[in-house]
Parts: sequence; structure tokens; C-alpha cells
Amino acid sequence: MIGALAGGMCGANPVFASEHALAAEELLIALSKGRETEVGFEEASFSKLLTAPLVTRGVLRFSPPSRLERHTLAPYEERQVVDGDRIIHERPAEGVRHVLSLTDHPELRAFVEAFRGVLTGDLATLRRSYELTVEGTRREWSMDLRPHDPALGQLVALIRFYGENDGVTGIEVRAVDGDRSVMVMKEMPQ
Amino acid sequence: MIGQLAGRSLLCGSVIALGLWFAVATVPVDTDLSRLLPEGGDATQRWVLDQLRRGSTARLLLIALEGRDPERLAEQSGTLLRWMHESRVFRYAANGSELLSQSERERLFRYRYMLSPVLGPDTFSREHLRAALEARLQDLASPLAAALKSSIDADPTGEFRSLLARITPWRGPTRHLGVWFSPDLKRALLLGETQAQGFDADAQSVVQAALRQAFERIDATRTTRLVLSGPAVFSVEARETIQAEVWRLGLVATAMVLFFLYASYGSARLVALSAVPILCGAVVATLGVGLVYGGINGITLAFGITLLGVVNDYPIHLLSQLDGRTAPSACIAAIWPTMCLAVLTTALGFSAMLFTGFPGLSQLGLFAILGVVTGAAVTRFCLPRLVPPGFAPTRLGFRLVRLLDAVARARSIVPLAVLAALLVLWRSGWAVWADDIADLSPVPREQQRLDQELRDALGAPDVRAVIAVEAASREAVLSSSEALEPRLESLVAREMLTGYEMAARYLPSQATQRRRQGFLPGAETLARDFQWALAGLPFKPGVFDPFLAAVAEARTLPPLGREALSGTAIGLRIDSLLLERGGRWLALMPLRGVRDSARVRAEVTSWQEPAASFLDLKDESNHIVVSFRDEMLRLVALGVLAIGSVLFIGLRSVRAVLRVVVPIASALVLLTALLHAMGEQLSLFHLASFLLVVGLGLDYALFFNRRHSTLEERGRILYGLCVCCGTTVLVFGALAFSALPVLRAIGLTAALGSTSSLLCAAVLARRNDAAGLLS
Repeated sequence: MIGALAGGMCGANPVFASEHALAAEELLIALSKGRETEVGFEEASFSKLLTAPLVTRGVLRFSPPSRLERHTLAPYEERQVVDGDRIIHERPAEGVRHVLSLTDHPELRAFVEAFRGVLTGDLATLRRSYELTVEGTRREWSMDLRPHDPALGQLVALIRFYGENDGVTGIEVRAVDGDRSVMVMKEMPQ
Repeated sequence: MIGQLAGRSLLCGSVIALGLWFAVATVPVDTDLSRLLPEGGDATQRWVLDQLRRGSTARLLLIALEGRDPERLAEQSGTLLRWMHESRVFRYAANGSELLSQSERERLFRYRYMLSPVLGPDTFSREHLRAALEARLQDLASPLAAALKSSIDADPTGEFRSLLARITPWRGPTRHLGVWFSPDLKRALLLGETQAQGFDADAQSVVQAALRQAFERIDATRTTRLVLSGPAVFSVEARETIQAEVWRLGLVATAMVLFFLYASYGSARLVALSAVPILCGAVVATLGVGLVYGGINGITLAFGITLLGVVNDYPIHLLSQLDGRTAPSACIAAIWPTMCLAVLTTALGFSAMLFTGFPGLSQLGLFAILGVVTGAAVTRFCLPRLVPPGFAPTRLGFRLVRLLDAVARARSIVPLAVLAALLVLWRSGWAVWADDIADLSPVPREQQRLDQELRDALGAPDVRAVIAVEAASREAVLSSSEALEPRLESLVAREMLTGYEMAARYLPSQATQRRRQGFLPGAETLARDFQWALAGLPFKPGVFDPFLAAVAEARTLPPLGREALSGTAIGLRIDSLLLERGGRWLALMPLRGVRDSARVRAEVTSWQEPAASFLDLKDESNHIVVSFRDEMLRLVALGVLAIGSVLFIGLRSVRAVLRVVVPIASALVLLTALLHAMGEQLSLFHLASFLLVVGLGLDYALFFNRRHSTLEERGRILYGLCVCCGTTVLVFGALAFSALPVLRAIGLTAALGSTSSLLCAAVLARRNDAAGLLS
């Protein structure tokens, strides 16, 4: 899916050329053509504590089926790697390195599954934790994930994926208290 | 005459019935097993042992829900926890879903600047504040923001997070779906601390039954298995097992004995009469112990009744003497001197138990002495009046006596057997004693293993290794604990322990709290430095006002005391770790995962802290048992001397005394070797049964060596002895088949011991002219 954006590596699927209303199943099947790939991102975090959004830039990497990496490069270096059941959080400058088990933190796991599920087109896993709503057409769509579980709901109120055709172009995460972050896919940084 | 007899029988029967009712109604039977155990060692050890028996660790119930579907288990765990909270039988209950209640969080949050373990002199320096604020910005930008950003406004330096990390065990149980699970996710785990004390088996069994019932209602589909473990569970199961076994075996044994007596003498009336002394003895003994000790322990009662097996012999002596011609009172008067000597020496033997400091054994000794003396008195004075005139047992068993005489001709068999026994014991290095108290436990190994598994999974402390620190005040003991913390950390780092717990972790000493308070800057200084740290960062103005206000408040807060934590789970935890008695304070630090307790003890000694001591409870308990065994052996030796003296006074000749004492000694040696050969290791219970064997042996030996007036009389008496031995073997043989180590010990010892006593006494007895008997 990310590949679709990075220079159109994934060929456009002619089956979905028409502009009919999109169902979640179709979309996820299309998105599931992911393979090992990487893409740059720019993310803006808005918080009620801040006067201006925090902007970070970095690289996203995905190795199906379960390794997902977010490597922030600017304005500081930070890395989160999700691999199977573990999530590793690193800040090299401060010498901080936490390893958490997703089994121990079920809300975190559900949060991570949103991303992994979309990337691999795993509708069943997504449906277990979220209610899916798809809007738009094949050419330009958005998919909302709202958590079922109130415990997860404390973390996120909504995760919204934007995309065109087979690829995701942006992700927005909204928290209950109004804070949100908006991530946009970009070219790889040099 | 018949009327008189019927009247007397009725009187006797009603007196016994009344006595039984009175005993049952007025003497409280307690089932607190810990009262049986000795209090030993020095004052600290006794205090700690007491705490461990009655304190939180003994009240802790480990609960596991076993099943295949973790989601269902998690749900049932939550429902069970709600029941546990509502039922009010638990002081504390947790399943991992909320480590701290809301009010606890608020209280700890308010005191975070005095409780935080990382707060130091430069926490509020400009540079540190700036670094903290930058880190908080990064938290906000991170995908984990929602989890990290709470209370940034009031606690930007993250003191509360550090505090929480310290309080919740870092190697705590696995959490899944919001509740505690075993690592393989097959068991959901819960912890409960009961209001009832750990070793109060009655109260605990009520709690456990209620829990099981509640769970049956929760788990309607019966797919989940409820497992309970912990010291309280063991004591209830032990009691139930012991009760069930004693009932079952008691019934079997009683039936066998009644049948045997009937078969031996062919008279039902004799069987009924022989029950009278032992019943009277039991009633008087119970009442006596109740009077002196204010109650009787259930285990003592059960044990005591078995020791009264020696009383069974007395009526049989009388009843087997009856020949229909002589008056019963004359019969008893004839054999009374021998019987009296037997009773006195047996009572002296049991008195060895009376003088130990072992509460359980003292009660038992008193019970046995009262029972034996009463039984003999009843046989002497009451029983003859209850015998119908002209009554005589129909079977006389002279054939058996002739057989016995034939066996007894092989005089040298006993010395040879004794030599062989001594050889066996010598070869084994005289290692006959059971030193491990765990061998006495009626809890099967399987269950002990399961308990350890659950304990490891829950991170609950073992009920075993503890470091105790003593001081004159709560403050002093907390300070001393804090001072020891670096040393304990080094032990963990060197893998001699996996963890430890101390009250000072939750409630620092006031000195430490004030010291931290001293690091808090004044309002102007903080405002200035904080402004500097904020420069250039995109925080809205006024966001951190709660932080500035909190620091200002914290500068004037009084230190957190125990009272402020009342009613919280943390308060309960502190109570179990900080004890006070008569002005002295004790801090307990339970250790987890101690593999080599000797090494840890050496380490603690090397610290050279006079107030700190290391206690390994299993070692202490074993040590206490060994020292009591030694003391009891000493007392038994004294008892033997006393017995010898009394015998000398009674028999008036050293040779006669030897003829009584040597068979008993031989029998004991043979018994020890036999038990050892059967793989039994001797424990205190075996020792108590040895006293029973001594009592029986005295009875047999004295009667075997008595000068009989006629051969017929000798025949009757010897037949009576065989019947006595038979009943003893039947009763204790039944016990020997029990699954419980304690009952098996008593049963084997008494059954084998009484047989060998009889044979030794028979073989080594004075030679009578047996010619007349053969004709």
C-alpha cells in the first residue's frame, strides 16, 4: 500500500476502475497487496497544551506481516518498532529504551493492530476491536476506525485513514480530549 | 440381685452419657493448628513466627481460574473480584485490574514530591527542568501520546511515574485483557487476604466454601476450574483429611475390635463392659484438659484417644480372670498390685510429654495420664460391681497359651534379634530421625508444587525467607530499612534473590521525606527557573500553573504518615510489614526467589548490622522440632529412671526389675530397626507412640513375670494379654493404612511395637512350671 505511493510501484488494479461506493472489504483487499517497503512521513501533533503543532518528520517501514517501524528523524531522533508481540521505544539521545509486551498492554495492542490490520488487509482483526466506516470512492476514500472497547477508547476516539486507489495517503488519530495528530505520507528524505 | 445389677448398669450408663454430653458441651475444641507448634528461639524469632502464622502471609489466598478461553477467564475474574469486594470476608482482593484505587492514586499523587525515589537536589535545576519539558514535548508527539501525557501539567518532571514504577513490582504478573494471567495464559490469577486468621481452620473453611459456591454461580457452564492455594487452604484440607481419615479408620478399627473381643471370649456383655473404663477415661481426660488449658485442640483429642489404647488392657485383665466361682472384687484385688504398678509406670512414661514446652505435647501428656489413671480406677472400683454374678467368659484359649509357651522356649531368639537390629541401625549410621518438617505435612507434594507455581506467577512472597530489622520506633525502623536498601539491591544484582519487599518503599521515613522537601525550591526561584526552561517551547502560557502550585503546597505538607494511608491497599501492605509490640518495632522484608539461604545468611551477617537478622522459616521450624525432640528424649530418659525406681519399689528386687525392663528395651530396639527397614523416618509422632509402646510393654512384662497362684490363672492372664495385644494391633493396624504420614506413623509404631513387646516379654519371662498346663 505504501508502495503504491512511492513511485507507483504497485500497478493500478483495473478491476476497481468504476466509481461506485466503496465497501470495507473491497478496500482492505486492495490494500493488502503490501510488501516490504518504506515511505517518508510528516506528522503534526495538535494538543490543547500547545500553542502550535509539533511537527516531526521521519520514515515509516513495514515488513509484512508484523514488523512496523516508525523512525522519527527530525527535530529529534526517536524510534518505535513493533515486531510481533513486542514494541520497542527508543530515544538514542537520552539513552531511553523501553521494551513492552503487547500482551501486557492490550489497549496498545489494539492500537497497533489498527495499523498492521490496515496494511495487511486483515478485516477480521480490525473488526474485533473497531467499527469500520468507509466513505468515498475507489479513487478517493477515507476509512474511520472507532474502538468498541471503552478501555481502548481512553486512548483514541478515532483513527482515520485517507487514501487514493490502492494506497494510504494520510492517517489522523484523534484522542478523546480533542488532541489529535495528522500524518501525511511524503517522499523518502535524503 | 438382678435388680441391683440392672440399677448399677443404668447408673453407670447414665453417668457416662452425662459425662460425654458435659464434655462435648463445655470443653471448647479449637482447630487452630498453629497452637500445637512450639514457640522457640529468641524473642524476635517467636515474634516473626507468630506473625507468619497469623499475619498477612498466612491469610493470603492464591486463586487461579483454569480454562482454555482467556477472554472468558478474564470476564470471570472480574466478576469474582466484585463478589470478593462485596462479600466483606476479604480485607484485600485484587486481580490486576486496578493496581491502585482512585483515592489511592490521588493521595499518592499529592505526596509525589516526598515519595518520589528519584527526587534529588538538581531535580529543579534549570537544565533538568528544560530537559524534562523537552522530553514531555516528545511524549506529546509520540504515537503513544495518549498513554504518556496524563498529568503533564501538574507533574512535568514525572515524579509520579517514578513513584508508581517503584511501588508496582517490576516483575509483576503478566497482564492480559486487563487482569493477571499466568505466562501461558491458561490461568487467570487473583489474590485475596481474608479477615480470618490463616490457621483458624474453621473460619477459613467457611470462607473457602463461600468462594467456591460464588464461583459455581459465576461459572454456569462449568468450563473453568477453580484452584485455591495458600497456607489457609492447606490447613483446611489437612483438617478435613485428618477428620475423614480418623472417622473412617476409627469406625473400621472399632468394628474390628468389637468383633475380635466377641470372638475371643464369646460374650457380648464382656465386650460392653470392656468399653466402660476407656469411655470414662476419655471423658475425664477431656474435662481435665479443658479445665487446665481452657480448651482442647482437635488434633490432641484425636491423638489422645489413640493413646488411651493402653486402657483397653485393664478391663480385659479383670474380665478374663472371672471363672464364675470367685467374686469379681476378689479377682481384681488379686491382680491389683501388678496392675497398679503398670498404671503408675505408664503414667510416668507419658509425663515426659507433659513437661516439654511443646503446647501440643503437654496437652497430650495430661490427657493420656488422666485417661490412664481414670481407666484403671474405674476398672478397680466400678467394674466389679457391674459384672453379673456367675459370669465367666466361655472361651479360655489354652491352646493359644501353649503355643506361646512353645515359642517362648526359644530364649536366645531375642538377644540375636536385638543384635541384628543394632547392626542394621549401625550400618545406616544411626540416621533414623526425620529432620524435615515438610515430611510431617499432610499436604501432598503435588499441591505444594502447584502452590509454588502460583506464587511465582503472582510474585507473591514465599512464606519462607525474611530479613527482620528491629528498632525502638517506627521512624527508626523505617530509616534502618532504607539504609539497608542498597545492600539488598546488590544481592538482587548478584542474583542471590529475585526481589524483596519493604514497608519503607511505600512509606519513607519522615527524615527522608523532609530531606526531599528540602530540595523543593521557593516560589520565586522556581518561577524564574521554570520560565527560563520554558523559553522557546510551544507550551501555552499557564499550562503549568498546577505544577507551580503543587510544588508550593508540597513545601509545607506534613510528612506522610501511616494514618494517611488507612483504608488503602498500600496501608494493608504496610501493616503486614511493620509490626509493633510493647514499644518495639519490627520491619519485615520478605525475600523472593532465595535459592541458597545459607549464602544469604552469611551475607547478612557480613553486613554487621546488629538490628538486622535473617530468618529462614523452614530452617527455624525444623530447628525447633529438632531441639524439642532432643528435649523430649532427655525427659524420656528421666522418665525411664523414674520408672525403674518405681518398679524397684514395687518389685523389691533388681532382677525382677531387669526382667521387666529388658524386654521393653529389646522391643524398642527391634521396633526402631523394623521401622527404619520399612523406610520410616522417626518423627515426634513416632516418639509419642513409643511412649504408648512402653506403656503396653510394661503391662505385658509385669503380668508375664507375676507369680501366679494356679496354672489356670496363668493361662487366663496370658490369654488376656494375647487378646489385649490383638486389639491393639487391630486398632493401630487400621491407622497404619492411612495416607497421612502422622497417622501412619502412630499406627505402624504401636502395632509393631505391641507385638514385639508381647513376644519379647513372653520369651524373656521368668520360667514357670509349665508342665501342669500341658496335661
